[in-house]
Amino acid sequence: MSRTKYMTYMAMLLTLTIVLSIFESALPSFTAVPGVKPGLANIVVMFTVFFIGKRYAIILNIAKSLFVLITRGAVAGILSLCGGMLSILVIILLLHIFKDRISYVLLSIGGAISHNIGQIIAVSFMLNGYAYMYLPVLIVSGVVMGSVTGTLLKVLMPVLSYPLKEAGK
Amino acid sequence: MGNLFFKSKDIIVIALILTVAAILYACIEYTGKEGKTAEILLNNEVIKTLELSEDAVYSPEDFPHVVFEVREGKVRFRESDCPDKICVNTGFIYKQGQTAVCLPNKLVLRITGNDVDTVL
Amino acid sequence: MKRILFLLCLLMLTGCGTKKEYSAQYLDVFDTYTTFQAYSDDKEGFDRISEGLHSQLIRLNRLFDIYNDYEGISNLKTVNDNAGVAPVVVDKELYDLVKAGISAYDETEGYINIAMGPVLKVWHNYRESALADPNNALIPSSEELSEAARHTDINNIILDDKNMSIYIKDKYASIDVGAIAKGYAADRAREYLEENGVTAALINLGGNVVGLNDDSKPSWKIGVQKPIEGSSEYVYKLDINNASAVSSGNYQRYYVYKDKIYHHIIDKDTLMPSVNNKSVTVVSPSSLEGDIYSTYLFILPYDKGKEIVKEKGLEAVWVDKDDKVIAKTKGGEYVR
Repeated sequence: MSRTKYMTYMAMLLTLTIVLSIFESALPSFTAVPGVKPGLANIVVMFTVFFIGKRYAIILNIAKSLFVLITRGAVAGILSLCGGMLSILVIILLLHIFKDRISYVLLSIGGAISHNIGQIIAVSFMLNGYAYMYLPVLIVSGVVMGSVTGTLLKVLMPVLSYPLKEAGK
Repeated sequence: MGNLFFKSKDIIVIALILTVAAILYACIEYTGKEGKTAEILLNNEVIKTLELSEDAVYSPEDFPHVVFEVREGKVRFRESDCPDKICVNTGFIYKQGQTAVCLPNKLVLRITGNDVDTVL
Repeated sequence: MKRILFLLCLLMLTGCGTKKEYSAQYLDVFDTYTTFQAYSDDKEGFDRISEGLHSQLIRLNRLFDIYNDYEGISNLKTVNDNAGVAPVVVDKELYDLVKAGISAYDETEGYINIAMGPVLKVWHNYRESALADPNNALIPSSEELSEAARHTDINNIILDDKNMSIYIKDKYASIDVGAIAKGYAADRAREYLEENGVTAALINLGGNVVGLNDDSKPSWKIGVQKPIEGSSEYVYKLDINNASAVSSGNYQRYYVYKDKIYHHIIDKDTLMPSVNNKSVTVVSPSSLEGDIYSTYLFILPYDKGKEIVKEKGLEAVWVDKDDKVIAKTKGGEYVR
């Protein structure tokens, strides 16, 4: 893929991430835990980790966090960054340990749980709270949302990877 | 990449993760002690301490639309003008260390006492 | 993956433990609010221990009481009432306590003096009437105090080891064990718990804390209160492990006269409430020792007190008259 094509592709993924996160913020909050969201945008981030490259996933996450920072303020920006980063790192770690023996759904659940935990760690630091109380809720919501995003990833995969095939990668 | 989307064994792993969550929840519920006071923090500064032994309704001076309520040893955000209402949805809290947070207003409601076992 | 999760589960199960923390409060001993916390398998076991502990404390409280008579026992009031009259045979605990009081006198250059009874009684009376009627609070005159101080010689107390009797020679003298009684009682309470197999417990006898620790509860966290304000704010937090922590503070018993605080710890040199510190907390193996030294250090200026802490190998936290907090603990020195 040429540099231009790659840039366009990344821009498309970023747009998708942003659209998903905007869509998500419009949803009513279903947990009582501050800042915790389903993490739909994670679908794109995960896709990037799996099929494009770890480096690009990290760049994508930083770009997304910057966008959140500009549009929704510093607090939301930091939350987005911490959740996303921990999520990517855990997925990379799981892939590294289990290679191809781990399923996408489990990877997705791992990513979702760590996404929530990353956010709650950030909240604790910012507000001096005792966030460990929320841990069980976070794990359960991680399992649910991870399964959802994992399944959605399966549906979206052919669409997302179309340009990759086009480029003959 | 040879990863499968879903393996039947995943069910077991998921069940285990959920068990861990349940045990954690039980531990937290089980070990939590009821608090005696609640603190309201604004930007990490305690702006008000509420005694949980007395029923009361309180609104911080700079937040006329935020209402705290103490009832039967528990406390909650009763009303708030924030858009997400996460703080109100948290409901009543009463165990030491529990918190309810209103990020938009930078307000934290916290049950205290968890840090020391007794006072001299 | 599964193995990891399985281990995680196990870890959390053991973290939970089978013992649960229970607590009880007593409002009728040592004129203070007493709390008792312990880890026990069940509520019944805890209640049994708590009842035993409570009756133990009631018994000691009656023995050391100088204001009330109780049927069938010779307490400190009996001893005081018989000053200049006759020796009184007493129970072992009271005898031991008075004996400990006399050695405390030697250890503290006379600053802890259980024979200070007459002077303390003067202050007690002024405090009681001030608390009953704060608008007409008064302080005793120096004549009244020095008259009382004429009868505070420790050598007035005559102990007879063989008969276990106490005799006060001077009929105007009296014994007041306020500075050491709670420490002694806390040590007995600890013994009671140990004899009954309790290994993780915390007793707070209105400022005298004793903690028992085992693997399930490796330490107890103690908050040192901000003097007078009495808020939930702490000036310092201490961890104790199988040890005692005792505070002497100007906030424990006091009254206000002309906007000044008159508390219950009297300096023998001035016969007035001591002014060097607002509170001193001492961590030590025995609560009696902690009680003695927290009072002693409370009266002494910090510079002199720190030498004693070093020499005795104690840990202490001062809040001095200017609200400066100085802590000398195993963890090092802390000043704020």
